[in-house]
Amino acid sequence: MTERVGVDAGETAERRLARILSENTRALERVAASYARTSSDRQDLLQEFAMALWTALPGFRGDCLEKTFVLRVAHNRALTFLSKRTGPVGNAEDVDDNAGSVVATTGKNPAIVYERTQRGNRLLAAARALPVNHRQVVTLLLEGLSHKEIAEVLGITETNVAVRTNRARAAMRVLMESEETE
Amino acid sequence: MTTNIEANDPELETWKREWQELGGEEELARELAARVASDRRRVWRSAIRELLGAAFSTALSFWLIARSHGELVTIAVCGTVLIFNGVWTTRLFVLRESFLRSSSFEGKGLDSFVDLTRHKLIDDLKWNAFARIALIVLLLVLVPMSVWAFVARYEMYRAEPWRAYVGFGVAFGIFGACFFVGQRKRRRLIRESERFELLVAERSLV
Repeated sequence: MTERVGVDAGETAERRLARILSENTRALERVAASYARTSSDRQDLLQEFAMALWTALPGFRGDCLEKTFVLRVAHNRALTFLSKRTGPVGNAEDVDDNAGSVVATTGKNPAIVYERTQRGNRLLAAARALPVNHRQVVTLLLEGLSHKEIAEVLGITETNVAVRTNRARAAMRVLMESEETE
Repeated sequence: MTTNIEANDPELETWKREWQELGGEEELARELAARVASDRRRVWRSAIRELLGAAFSTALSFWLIARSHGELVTIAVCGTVLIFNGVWTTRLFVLRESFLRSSSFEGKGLDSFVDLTRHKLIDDLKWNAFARIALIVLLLVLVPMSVWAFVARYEMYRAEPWRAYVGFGVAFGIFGACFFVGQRKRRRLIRESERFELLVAERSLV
């Protein structure tokens, strides 16, 4: 098996992957949670992300931030993951009651954990209920990417990103409010 | 990474904070790295199995041709197997190159990724069609050959019917299984391709 080197020639491929995974695991968990409904699907998807990163990393020449690259790989992989799934493509069927398992729960005050879980659930459920094209834009925005970076990741124009963002946020507001009133 | 407009948006800032609190399963990064290593080993094992299978059937075909003394049917069957092996091995080294070395495919921009994925699905379907046609051609040779073998050795098969059951049964069982698996894969690829196009169409909507 060949040794792969990336931007930092002194870093072995295995170490580089381990470092990138360790720095971006939480972001990858969130991307997986925004696409996969069940815990086992999330685990499968995370594994696919990791494998895709392994094959993609040698081609990364540092033309964007590492996190942007990781998110691009993850969203691309998620697209093929969705094509392999059975059932309808798209939105509300993905909402589940187990989103709390995505929230970190170690070493925290139970009351804080509960509140965080509730807030996280609400946001995640709303994001997952969006159509894929809106879901991607909003999750990337929530990861902290600028419109320009989102446009680069998704291969669309900044104007398009802005339009999708507005629509996605409006839909999320409605979804979250309706959940609060229920 | 945020722009000024985004930074002055309290709702978005709250959502971002809540969103970025999600995740954080302990030991996950290490588990994922370990799984990648084991997946890579599995992929290599699978490639080696395919290569060993091709090498074995190629050697067997050459051996059968060598001791056939120019028998047409044996040469035709072995020839088909050899052609199939050649094409299949080429596929392993050319189309599945990412199994054996790095690929920039995953990290491409969306447009390139969509094009490449589309090509990959089409290629997979073409290979599937090739395997199906190869099986049919082999079957067209094997059926008359089996009838001829049965008629020519009728007395032996009548005396020991188990030979017929085992010999013909195993041969046609393998064919049936290969055909069934190929058809199932074809249906899966078509379904995957349709869903992929649907997702691409949905994403391109403004």
